[in-house]
Amino acid sequence: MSLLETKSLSKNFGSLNAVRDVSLQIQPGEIHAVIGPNGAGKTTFLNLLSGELPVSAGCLQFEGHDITRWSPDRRANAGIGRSFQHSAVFEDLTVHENLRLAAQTQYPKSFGMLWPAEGYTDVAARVTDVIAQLSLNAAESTRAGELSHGEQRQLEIGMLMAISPKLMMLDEPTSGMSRNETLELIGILRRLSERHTLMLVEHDMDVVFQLAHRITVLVNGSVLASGTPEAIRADASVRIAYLGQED
Amino acid sequence: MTKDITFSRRTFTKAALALCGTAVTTATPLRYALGADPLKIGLILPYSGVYANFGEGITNGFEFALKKRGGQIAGRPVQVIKGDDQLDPKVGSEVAQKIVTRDNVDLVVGTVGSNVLPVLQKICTDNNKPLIVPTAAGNDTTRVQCHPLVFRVSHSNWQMTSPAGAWLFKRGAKRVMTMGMNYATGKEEVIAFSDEFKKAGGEIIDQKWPGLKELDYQAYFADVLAKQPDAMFTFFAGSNAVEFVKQYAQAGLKERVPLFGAAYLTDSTLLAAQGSAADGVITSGHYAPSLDNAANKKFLADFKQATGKDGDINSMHGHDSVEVVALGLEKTKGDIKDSAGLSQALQKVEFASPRGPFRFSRARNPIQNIYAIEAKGGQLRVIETIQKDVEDPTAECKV
Amino acid sequence: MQLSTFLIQLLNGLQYGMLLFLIASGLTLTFGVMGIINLAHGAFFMIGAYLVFQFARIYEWPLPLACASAIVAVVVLGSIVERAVLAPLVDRDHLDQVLVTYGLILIFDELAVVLWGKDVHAAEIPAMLRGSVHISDMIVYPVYRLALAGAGLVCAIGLYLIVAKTRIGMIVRAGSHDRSMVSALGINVGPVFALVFGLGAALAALAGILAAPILSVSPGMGDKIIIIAFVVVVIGGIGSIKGAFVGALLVGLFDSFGKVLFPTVSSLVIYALMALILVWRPNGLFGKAA
Ligand SMILES: Nc1ncnc2c1ncn2[C@@H]1O[C@H](COP(=O)(O)OP(=O)(O)OP(=O)(O)O)[C@@H](O)[C@H]1O
Ligand SMILES: [Mg+2]
Repeated sequence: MSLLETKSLSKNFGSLNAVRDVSLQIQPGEIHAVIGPNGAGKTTFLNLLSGELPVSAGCLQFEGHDITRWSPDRRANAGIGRSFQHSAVFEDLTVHENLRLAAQTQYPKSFGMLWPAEGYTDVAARVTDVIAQLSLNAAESTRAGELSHGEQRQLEIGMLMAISPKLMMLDEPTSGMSRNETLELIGILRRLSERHTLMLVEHDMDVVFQLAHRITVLVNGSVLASGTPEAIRADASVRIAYLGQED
Repeated sequence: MTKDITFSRRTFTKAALALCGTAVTTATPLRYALGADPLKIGLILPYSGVYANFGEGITNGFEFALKKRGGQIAGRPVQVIKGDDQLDPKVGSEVAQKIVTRDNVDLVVGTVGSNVLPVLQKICTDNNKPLIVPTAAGNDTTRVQCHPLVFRVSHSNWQMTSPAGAWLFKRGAKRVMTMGMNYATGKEEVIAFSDEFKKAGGEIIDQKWPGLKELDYQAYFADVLAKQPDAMFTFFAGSNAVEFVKQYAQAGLKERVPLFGAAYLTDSTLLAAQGSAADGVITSGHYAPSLDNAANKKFLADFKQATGKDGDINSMHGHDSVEVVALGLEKTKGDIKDSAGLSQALQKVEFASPRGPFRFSRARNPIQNIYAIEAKGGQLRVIETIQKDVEDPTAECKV
Repeated sequence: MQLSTFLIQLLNGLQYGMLLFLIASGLTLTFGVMGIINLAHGAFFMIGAYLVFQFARIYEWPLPLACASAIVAVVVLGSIVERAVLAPLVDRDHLDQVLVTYGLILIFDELAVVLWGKDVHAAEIPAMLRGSVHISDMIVYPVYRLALAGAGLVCAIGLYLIVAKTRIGMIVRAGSHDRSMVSALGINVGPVFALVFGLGAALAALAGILAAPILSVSPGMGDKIIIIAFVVVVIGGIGSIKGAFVGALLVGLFDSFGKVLFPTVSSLVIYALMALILVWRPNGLFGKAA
């Protein structure tokens, strides 16, 4: 059974069809990349999966359950985690607090809302564990707003790791990163994929072709092609519509 | 932000108006034995907004006085048509247009707000209808704006506080500080006092004008302590008066700088809220329920019996408005069509009001006594007559 | 300015600022977390004052019971308003929110008139807090106002601890940055909204209760103070508790010194302060760029 499956998913903004009739399956354990030119509807599609936006038509299933009408937090708790295209960390919170906020969602029963947030060992251990897997230079007590852009993006992924979703959806995780930071991130993502299924929206073709097991190409909201990297590379229509511009 | 609020305030008022539709003006005919042609009186007052309690009180006194007269004036049954001006000149103008021109009343009693009065006066006098003003106190109404058909039953702002100037000086206060709400009425009343106080030889050491929206007067008090005046003379009304009097007492100032003001400061409707903070505060005014005269005792007793409520300054004004109309029309035998004759008849009205002797000046403002009124234990006590037969200056009134 | 005047005005400013903070903090929390401009926040202030008047003066309940009951009642009312009226407005235009919550003001003011009449009421200062402290011949200060400042400060510290140290505080800070991120982490924001809103309503009710003995209890009493509370929130930066605290103190101090230094234009001083701060920092002192 596929982990996530969409059936004829569509989203309209007024007369604009940002996502049309997208049917796609994400298999457990794979790294699935979604690519496409600017404005193709990639972020919108991701928003439909995370519940950020209500669908206009079609439905989606996660682990066999119809989750079309579920709220974003319910989906997150079921195991769909996401990052945002524009670096989304809580700038006013410290690095530690950002991770703790995420980690706490995994221990909902153990916290009264008004208990001190500090001092719960399971959560603290988890935060430490996540930090060990990232390559941040800044101290845990640094305000997230003061991190470099690349570090913020890492932290964001760290937050995802802390909630440990079955499916991790990342919207352009490498955007704005230096070459080195990108390389570090590729390593982190590869390690992550040992434990999580990944869905990746990405512009950087090096990243895509190094990591992805399968690639779906969106153009004007529709699926132009979907398959292995080799198949996509060989697809003439993709070359003309999209890759051709990159060469 | 402010813009949004103003915008939505208006929108909501409009929506509310539309919803209420005909409820804005409610015709309340008092039905009496058919026969003589009824006398139609328009009663235009604020029944909503911050002065709603004025509108209510005046109406209670008005209806009581009519009932006392068997629902008749000069042998004619009376029909009353009420309108709510909402203290808003635009609404007031619409309501007055309808009542004066469409309902074609014979005369109008109204209103309270000095902002609504000019439009009301214009509509009435344009249509040759007498206007009896139960409360609005702007000096101009019976000065430059005076008109043969406009009669004021209450008082002018000047009249209320001017006599207190010389009186307070005679009591021994030489250096006085004043505080007044920063709007037309507050200014007229405080300045009338200050002028007379200076004329008598006193010194006004400082004048403060807090805004209408002021909540906390504490910040003004340090200066009062520092300057140590002999007395504080003030104009505050409504909830501002409650706040001011309480805070003044709480700051420990009342014992150091005795508090005086225009009668609104400790209006009988506010005394309960002011509690002991009002004790010992002395105001100048033309009426207090404790006035010791036969007309007042009868008014209070009958009013209580008829309505179950205690009479106050507002019901007294409503009552006296009916008295003025009735006594004037009795002189014309109920004839209302000859406006010149009617104006003269009303001008000559003289009677024993609950406030004391009442007659009109040449400018059609009452000539009346002004008293010193002390608050104590939740009651208002007249401690002395400041000046008898006080007349608002009439020189500016040309007609 | 004499030293004594200066000291008294300083006390006045701090004390007024604390009162404003109690109201402004709820306002800024609701905006920060829910993104809702709640003009009707002043109604909670008014209802708190009316209820303590009703319970303490009319029913003659002991004061602590009267105060606690008034706060609980306002929180219950606030929760109903939040669930029934505001929650559906979360994703709507600010103009819609302003219109609806302005409608709520009219309804609550009218309700107060129906229940308690148009008369002006007041609550008494409890006996143990009456009188003044005589610091010197020139410095006399009402005990109650000192108590009020103290209560405000205690609440400010409590609120700071909640926001800085607890789990909900962390969610509140995160939520005022980006609500959709919080739900993407799997946190159901509904109950958090309700809790924050209840807390804001409780603080406003407390402010109303504390202010009742010095202000008058009358319909529309919340409307006067809510305008100043908005000035505080705008100065401090919308959504920021720290901003509300600093803004409230600034407004309190400028207001009280303005009355001495610029008596003729004192009512404009705080608006001038707001304008200046907005020129310097368009999002307020601690606000974030939109
Ligand atoms: N909330 C919205 N309302 C209206 N139109 C929208 C909205 N969100 C996205 N769009 C439009 O939908 C289309 C798809 O946008 P989307 O952000 O999904 O593209 P994308 O593939 O993620 O692009 P990019 O590579 O630039 O991130 C665009 O034309 C965009 O302008
Ligand atoms: Mg995108």
